[in-house]
Amino acid sequence: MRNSLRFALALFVSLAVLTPLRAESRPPALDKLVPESVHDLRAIQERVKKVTAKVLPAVVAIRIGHAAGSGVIVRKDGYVLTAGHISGEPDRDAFVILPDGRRLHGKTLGRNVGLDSGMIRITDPGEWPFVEMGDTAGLREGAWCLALGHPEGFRPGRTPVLRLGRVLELERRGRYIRTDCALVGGDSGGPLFDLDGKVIGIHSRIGELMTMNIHVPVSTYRDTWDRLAKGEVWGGRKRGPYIGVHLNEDEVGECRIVEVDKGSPAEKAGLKPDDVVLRFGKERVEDIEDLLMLISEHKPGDEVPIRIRRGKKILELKIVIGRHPA
Amino acid sequence: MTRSSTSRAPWTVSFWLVAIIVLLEAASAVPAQRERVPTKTSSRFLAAFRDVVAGPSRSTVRIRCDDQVAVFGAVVAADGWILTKASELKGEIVCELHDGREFPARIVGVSEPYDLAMLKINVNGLKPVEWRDSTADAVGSWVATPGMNPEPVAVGVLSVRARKITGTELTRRSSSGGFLGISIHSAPTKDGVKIAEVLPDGAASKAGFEEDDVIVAIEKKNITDADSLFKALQKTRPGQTVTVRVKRGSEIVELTPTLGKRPTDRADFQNHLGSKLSDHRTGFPMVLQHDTVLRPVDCGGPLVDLDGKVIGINIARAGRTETLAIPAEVIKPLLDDLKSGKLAPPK
Repeated sequence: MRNSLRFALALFVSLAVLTPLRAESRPPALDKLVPESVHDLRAIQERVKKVTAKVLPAVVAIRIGHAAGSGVIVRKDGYVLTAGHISGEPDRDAFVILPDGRRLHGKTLGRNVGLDSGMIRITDPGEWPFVEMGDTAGLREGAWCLALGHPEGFRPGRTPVLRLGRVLELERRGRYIRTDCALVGGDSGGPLFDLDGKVIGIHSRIGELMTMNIHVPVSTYRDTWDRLAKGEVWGGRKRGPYIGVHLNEDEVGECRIVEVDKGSPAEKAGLKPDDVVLRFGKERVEDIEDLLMLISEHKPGDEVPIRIRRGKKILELKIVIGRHPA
Repeated sequence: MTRSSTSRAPWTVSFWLVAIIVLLEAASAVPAQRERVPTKTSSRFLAAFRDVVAGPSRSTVRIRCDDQVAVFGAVVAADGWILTKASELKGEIVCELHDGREFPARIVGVSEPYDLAMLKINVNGLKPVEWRDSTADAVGSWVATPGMNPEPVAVGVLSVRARKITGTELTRRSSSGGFLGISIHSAPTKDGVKIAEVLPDGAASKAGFEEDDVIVAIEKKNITDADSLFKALQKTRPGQTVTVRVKRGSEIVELTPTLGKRPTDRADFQNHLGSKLSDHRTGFPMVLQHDTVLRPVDCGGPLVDLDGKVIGINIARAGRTETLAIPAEVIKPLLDDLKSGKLAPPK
């Protein structure tokens, strides 16, 4: 992860307007890097209050057995975005708890184990309050964002808990969003909103610092909606895709193979130690995280072209993705 | 270090809380770095709040106990009345005013449930805070904590409006009491509280408690619901042996567990990430919650909205996501009793 972070900074477009449609009504204070006056603070406050009131009814708590997390309804027929480590295995019974305490029945759907996206469907008949999914592509670092969720699980009488912060980092390949909206256990699966009240991320995990709050970008939910809705599980370690190479984690700026497992897809494809992977499928590979991510996006059985550098030669090979040995 | 192409460390899960597991993963090695965005803690950002705290910072005092910085306090009357967080006070108390003058203080009144103390110093002509009911501000409103400088010590937004705290939430994380090592069914039975699970190697397990046992009494005090169980345990200490009366089937059994210490669980661990918490941070009957990252020594003073009106007194840094304040509308009716000594400090 370290390698990729170094590259993650380039996009610092100054004060771009996020949604052209709202450009006229959008006070400039919302897009300043730092509020400069009480006037600016008031403009932000008014927007944050409005957005919170609007989105709150769609923010839910999740209970699956003894586990507790959060989620957000994004369709009136009851599709709920959550974290993959909350929804877990597909087709399990779940409770979806609305802010007013109503407990609805639901079933877990699919999950991307690698990115930590997950989905739940409310199975009780009805129409539910929902919010729109936003577009991570329009985001910039420094944008205000609102985190909502149920820290430490649902508590009767406590509305979903608001935290206001900034987008501090957009991971280059869209693997995560990092903010200073402090999260804690129970928040997992809860939504991160932009100032238009659209979901831009789902809470996933934390590091020690208050600036280390990691969210799954909403774009992956859009891109893999059908797979999630169908109950597919992918990107994982055990049942997931596998090629059988070992990589040097300390190396910066390239993806060099250290070792190739016997009988693995990599060996069958002709990969050898010291090969540097340049491309995997159509995508460029700049570091080991790139390769890990690209592998995780494939299914066992997929045939993928792979370009490598061996010494001074560039080779094009084909690899058939295998399944990780248990 | 090498690793296999598909063994990107899965964020491991599963840890027992007393009743439920609350999940959020700890991030794998993401390095600390300088932020390119000025965050809520940067001085550039805090500078926007100068006008907001210009007034209320003159009503804020720094309180030291035995020469150690302890908490902030709020001037609540011109003739030397200071409100602050009670449990942080000890030894010789000194209040430093906004203008740098210092005065010895004595504790006149204490509200134990709210952890508030009224101090008296010998001075006149102070500028008291201007209260505003916290219910006037919606979730999402800015809140600032004034200190002794032109900028606030920290800022945040209102996360949850003032609300009554009841039941197990009122008694949760009462880390001082003894720990029995069971989880219970939250609905009481007609005899007492039914055990859902006995944690392995805990005090209850060693003393022979079993699943489905109904706890009827602890130290001869009847247990009627989860609340009374928590309260009874809160009065105990780790290491103490207590007599517990248990109904097992139709039989009554007496067990004598030696209570343990509450283990640090996953939730505790995560809550301690990134900021220091107040020692006394639970059990307040009514609180509002905001997301300001506040040090425990910066609690005890006023919390203001964008108009500089005081909507509460910061009472505790309570977790990674929460700072708690006692709402103004709760405090105002207590002020006279705290001053008169009707709410007296404990002896």
